[in-house]
Amino acid sequence: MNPIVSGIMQVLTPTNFLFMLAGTVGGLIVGALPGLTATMATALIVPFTFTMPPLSGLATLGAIYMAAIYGGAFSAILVNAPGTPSSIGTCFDGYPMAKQGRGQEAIIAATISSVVGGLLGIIALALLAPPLAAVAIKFGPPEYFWVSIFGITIISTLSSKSALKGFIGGCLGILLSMIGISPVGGDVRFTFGISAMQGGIELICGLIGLFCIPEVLALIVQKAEDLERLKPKKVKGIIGTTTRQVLKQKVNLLRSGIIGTIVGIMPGAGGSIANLIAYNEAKRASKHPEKFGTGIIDGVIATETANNATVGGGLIPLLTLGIPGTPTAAVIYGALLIHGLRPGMELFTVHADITYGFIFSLLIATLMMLVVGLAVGTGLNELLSRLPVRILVPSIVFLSIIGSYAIRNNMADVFIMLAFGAVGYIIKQLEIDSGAVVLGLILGPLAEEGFVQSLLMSKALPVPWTIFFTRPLSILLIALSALSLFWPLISKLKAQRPGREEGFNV
Amino acid sequence: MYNPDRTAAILMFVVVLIFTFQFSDIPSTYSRVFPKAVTWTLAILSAILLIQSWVTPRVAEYTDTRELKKVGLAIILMFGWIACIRFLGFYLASVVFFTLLMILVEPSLLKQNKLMASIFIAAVEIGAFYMVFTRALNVPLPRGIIFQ
Repeated sequence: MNPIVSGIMQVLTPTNFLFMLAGTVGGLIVGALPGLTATMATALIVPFTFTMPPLSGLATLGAIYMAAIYGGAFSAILVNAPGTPSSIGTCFDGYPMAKQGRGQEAIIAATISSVVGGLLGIIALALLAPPLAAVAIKFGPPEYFWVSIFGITIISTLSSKSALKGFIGGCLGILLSMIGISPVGGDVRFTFGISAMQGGIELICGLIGLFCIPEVLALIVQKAEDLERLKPKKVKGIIGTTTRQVLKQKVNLLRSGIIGTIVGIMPGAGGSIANLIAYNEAKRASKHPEKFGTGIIDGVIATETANNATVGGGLIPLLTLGIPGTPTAAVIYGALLIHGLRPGMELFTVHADITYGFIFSLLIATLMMLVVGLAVGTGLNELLSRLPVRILVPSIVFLSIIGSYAIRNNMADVFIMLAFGAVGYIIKQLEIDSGAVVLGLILGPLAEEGFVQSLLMSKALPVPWTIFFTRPLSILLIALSALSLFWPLISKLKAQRPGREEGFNV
Repeated sequence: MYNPDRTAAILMFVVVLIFTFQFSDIPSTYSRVFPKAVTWTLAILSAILLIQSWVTPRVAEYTDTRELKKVGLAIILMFGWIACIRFLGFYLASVVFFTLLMILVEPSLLKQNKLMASIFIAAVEIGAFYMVFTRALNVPLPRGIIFQ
């Protein structure tokens, strides 16, 4: 049977539908809670997927990812606190709409836009991933080394406050990823004499520690007034009216969807950047830019279309090159490895049924999001906004403990997770981006393997080091890395050019 | 007040030292070459940050002492939770520390005589997750010496 048809058939089972529905509801809940991100939601659910078949596990994670990104709009609109960083721009117009008593209208607009954005991203994933995977097969160790360097250079965009600190965080992540047995020499390194460390740092434990624990600590010290919430008003017949209003804005939807997909493809960027760029572009293209920020539906449409489009876009470099486009995609990368699936051409040949099934499951999850979001989303949000922090905090810690233990049934992993949590809190205080550390943790082993294997290959060459700089694909990747490294500088110079001062800065 | 750049640079130098001291224990060149390169890069970047902290000094406010105490207590409770699982067992240790964390977040729980209600919430939530993981999903959970 054709692997695409086989994958679709495998998804269409009642069990998978139940898993995806649970994932959609769960993702929406987590996304709606300020402080809880899509990354945290997927990281916490990964252990639940251990015993599931690979496709069911991935479909559940995909549904959570998609719904959590959308769920962030709820708190952004109702509380002016983005549930996830991907919904920062939604606050600009969503919250003023809620203050005008148009909260429900804003939520419906966010729902429809998220669905459209999600679908655009999935279409791009289905069409662009296979040709990119075919290119990935031509990669040798030097190319993998440069791909990982390219991934690391994204830190310069990711750490907008200080690229230097971002790179320091990246180096720290790479060093931490080297604890355990070395991939080429086979030696035990940097274990500090602790035998439990020989297995290395489990990626998911590091992710849970770095992303969840600092958020928990921030919630503990959060003041009660910061958690003040607004109640949405109910208006009859508003779903149809708002849906028509959203679908009328075809250009805004398409433009924002394309922005989201492209930003998602760029490793390290993600929804947090995409929604702001889309908002900026919607304002620049609008006939009435002065209305932006006062409660205009166009702003909500732009941000919510773009952030959900990053889901499909972010999975393109992950599935084809093994480079996660977003932090949540990094967690899905961990889940892929746990199920024995290695990103690259193999995913589109040996495991094509699982890969296409996963892409199809994202499509179903997006449609489920529409139903769940419209039917129960608004009511659920009201219920969730009342969930006390005193229950939320220990619940997250509890799930973090279960999550990190269940990966290898090892208590040392739980201690490592907490240690990473403490490190995450400290580096947050020192303004070092934990996303950069995570990027280092993920790309470190790939970079080392490529680097050392290239050195071994180059022994036959008269000048060994030239292997890194003479292959055509390597040269292309070096150029891309240089462009990515200096991109913030280039955009800054471009923005300073005469005639560009009037652009909206977010 | 403190200089976050300087503190970060000094901390990273400590990390560099910790890793550098362990290089002599690695016999193979191929296991050593890449970590060495990264350690050197980290040292150079930290040195630049240290210089930057003097050239363009920045200051950050210390977190409120009460907040810091709360954070410290939370971290201690979390580590205590894991350490006690070995003795008290997963379920009992989780109920105890879940409740303690609830009290840390909202100390008024003790004053308002809501302690029993908090313990009940903790017991029910942990019980539900315990059943889902061990029975429905067959995922093993940590066990203690005295209790499971």
